[in-house]
Amino acid sequence: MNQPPTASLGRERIPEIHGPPPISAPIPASATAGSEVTTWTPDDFALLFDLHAPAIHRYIARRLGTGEADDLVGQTFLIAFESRDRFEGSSSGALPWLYGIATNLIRRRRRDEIRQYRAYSRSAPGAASAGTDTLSAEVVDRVDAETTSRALAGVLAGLRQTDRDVLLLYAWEDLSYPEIAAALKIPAGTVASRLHRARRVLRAALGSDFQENRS
Amino acid sequence: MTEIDALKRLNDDVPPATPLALARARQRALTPQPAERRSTGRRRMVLAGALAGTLAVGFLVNDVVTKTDGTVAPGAVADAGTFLATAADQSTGAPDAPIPAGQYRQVTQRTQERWNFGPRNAYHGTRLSVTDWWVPSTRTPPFTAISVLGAKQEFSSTAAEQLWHKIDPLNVKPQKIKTANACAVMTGGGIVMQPNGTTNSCKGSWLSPSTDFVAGLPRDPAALLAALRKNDHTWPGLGDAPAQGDYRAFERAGSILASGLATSEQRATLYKALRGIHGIQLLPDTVNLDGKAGRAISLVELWGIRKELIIDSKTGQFIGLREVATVTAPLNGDGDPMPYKSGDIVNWTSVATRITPSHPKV
Repeated sequence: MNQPPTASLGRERIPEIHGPPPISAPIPASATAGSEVTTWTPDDFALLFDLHAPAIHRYIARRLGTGEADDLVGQTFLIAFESRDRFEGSSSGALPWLYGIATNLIRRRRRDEIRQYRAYSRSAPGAASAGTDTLSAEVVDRVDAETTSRALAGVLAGLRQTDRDVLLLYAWEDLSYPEIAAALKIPAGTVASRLHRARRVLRAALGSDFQENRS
Repeated sequence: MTEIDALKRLNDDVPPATPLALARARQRALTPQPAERRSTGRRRMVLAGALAGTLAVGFLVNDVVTKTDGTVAPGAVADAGTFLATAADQSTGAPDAPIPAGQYRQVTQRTQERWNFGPRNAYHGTRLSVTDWWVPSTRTPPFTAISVLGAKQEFSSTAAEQLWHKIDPLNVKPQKIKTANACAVMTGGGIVMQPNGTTNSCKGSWLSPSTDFVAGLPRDPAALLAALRKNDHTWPGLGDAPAQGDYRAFERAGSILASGLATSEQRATLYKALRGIHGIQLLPDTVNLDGKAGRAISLVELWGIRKELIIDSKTGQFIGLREVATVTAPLNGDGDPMPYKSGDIVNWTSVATRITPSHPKV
């Protein structure tokens, strides 16, 4: 049976636009400027949560798993609010500071983190799905990528905790040296040396195919 | 490829935080329980208590009212149930005035939609649609309806407006729909018309209710709730899980109420049925799009959008709908992030009715 004619132009007329992650209205100065942090209101803090919680959750989930992330993201922001008077302000805003808190919480569960990396590094390669051409370049690439990832997980499990923190903030969260320094409250020179050391270990594990990138 | 590039791919496929997980974390971060703080020192106890106190009277009462473990705060559901029961009593106690013969019940629905777009979704626009329909005393279609879609559009800045003209030039001008053959209405300005000369080709549905469809709904609240929840594989799709049945029921109830086609008795049954939906919350004072005050029964859906049914607390009349993003980038039904930020009013509707002696000629 034919549907009756509909004169609706409702919501479907507005195209859904997928763009970069949304940034809300300007962040209150108190949420970014160190000199004003003691004036943080709960509203400001709620805005801070809405802006950064997904990124913090993802960071924790990559290191500890989604279940732990669900738990720790709330703790991260709780500690942040309670220690807001110690936030020293940064041109990068509050995000590095939040990463620092999350990293400290992850350290408390470092055994779980290492266990996860080790389990992955020892896991069997994923089998090609039925019906796939096992010789296809795509499959070969995928198997190579999995092999590399397992090797990397093994390396991560063996790194010093402090080196791993720097490396993952740099590689996964794209933080700059000064931002990592602010997050972990260490000098930028220490960031550089820890990162250099961690990358050297990675390259040694992965072999000569991987280029050194000093950028 | 460098070792850093390779490392970026490790664990890159972790699923994003669910809106529910974020909502719980938000609650936990912003309303710490004293019991949890006891072991962490006196200073933190004081801060936590102060924060909880501030939030209790502040913004948080407008948000998800759950405890830190994600369960519903004491009284929230009970309050919603009590409010709905009272609204049901008010509806049956003061029924709508009957439509005098030869006259009409004019239903006016105004809906404002918001969308974000542009660089980093920093721009936004709002689009108002106004629809009137005139239900005759016989309550049988066809009836007259006029809908002006995009009656008014506003943008956050001139740059935003100029960009929108480039992105979607066809969706800038208002469009007026006039018909004497309306048989069902949709929330947001849609009208279902029956072809000229036919009387039985229009079949109402949950989201495009007709008078016949509404009249045919179960009169027992439990049976109505079962019907509202039932997965008949029409939109909204969802699945068979109990929670999804509740989302579906809430959406459908809003559609029926916003149509203005339900009698006061049918409204009362709907209110009673809504009491059975898990997770509903009573929000404090709310206004509809016209600024008329009421209170809202809300449900945060799976994807992080909070739907609100706004009811006049003095009369039990249904006066509007609202949808508010409770998380930044809530998901749509396909799991894609929508470019809204927490607090954005995605949709806002007012519904008003009055008796009129005539309707415009179309």
